[in-house]
Amino acid sequence: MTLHDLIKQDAESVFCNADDFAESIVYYKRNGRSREIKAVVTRTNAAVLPEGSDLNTPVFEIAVPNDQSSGIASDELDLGGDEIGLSPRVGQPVSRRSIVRLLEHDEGMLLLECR
Amino acid sequence: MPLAIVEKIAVEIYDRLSAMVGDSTSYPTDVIEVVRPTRFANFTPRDRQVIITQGVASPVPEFSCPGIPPAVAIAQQFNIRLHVMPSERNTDAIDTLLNQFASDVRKCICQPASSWHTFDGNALFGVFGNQITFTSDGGLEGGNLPLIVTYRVSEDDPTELR
Repeated sequence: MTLHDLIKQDAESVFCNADDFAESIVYYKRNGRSREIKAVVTRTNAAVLPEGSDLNTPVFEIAVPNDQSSGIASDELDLGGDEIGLSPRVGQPVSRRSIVRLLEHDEGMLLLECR
Repeated sequence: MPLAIVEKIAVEIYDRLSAMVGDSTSYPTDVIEVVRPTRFANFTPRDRQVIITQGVASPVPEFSCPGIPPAVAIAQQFNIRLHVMPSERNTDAIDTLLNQFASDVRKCICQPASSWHTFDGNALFGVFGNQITFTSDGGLEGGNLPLIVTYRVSEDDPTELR
């Protein structure tokens, strides 16, 4: 097993373990398909939308495995229309939020910004 | 409770633009939604989305009138933000999409042609300001189409049209 494979395996089984910090969210593709995945969601305060100058929206940083079944594959991600279904605050009803940026990625993980 | 004249104008702008949603016959750009944000931002950025907010409101002395009470003219800027987030696989130039979007929004607001600028009888006139295009580091793209609407109300009662 290569280091590449180990990183990928750890992303799924360790980092995105729902028994620890990960939670279930729904990935909605632009084409209408969706699937439930595990992710670590960081909910931060509302921040100014850089492109909107005076518009504030909540910011979510979402870490998911770079994988087409357990997470989101970097080559399937579409920053023009893909969305995530999550609770804006823990305990609140789920709502869909656009994925607006791919902040970082490697073979193991994607770090996404949702608004 | 009577609405402030500026709110009536905002509602009129919102109503006109909302008529674009689902009307791809009159306007090529299929607007997905029109939003006046709440305090906690009730929207997520989407392709072909319109966000309406209010900017600076400036007095216009040349259209104000003396009296008891005086009538004050105010130029209110409405920021009409056009969000464009096409698919990564879309091969159209982003400026082409934005040009069409801005054109459709402008045509929609300027109806009916002879009296659009009064916003249902509430304003003296309206003019479009400098359109600003915003781009981002991979996020949404779009533009701000400022609409400056001048209206006149009693100095001591912003619900009273003068």
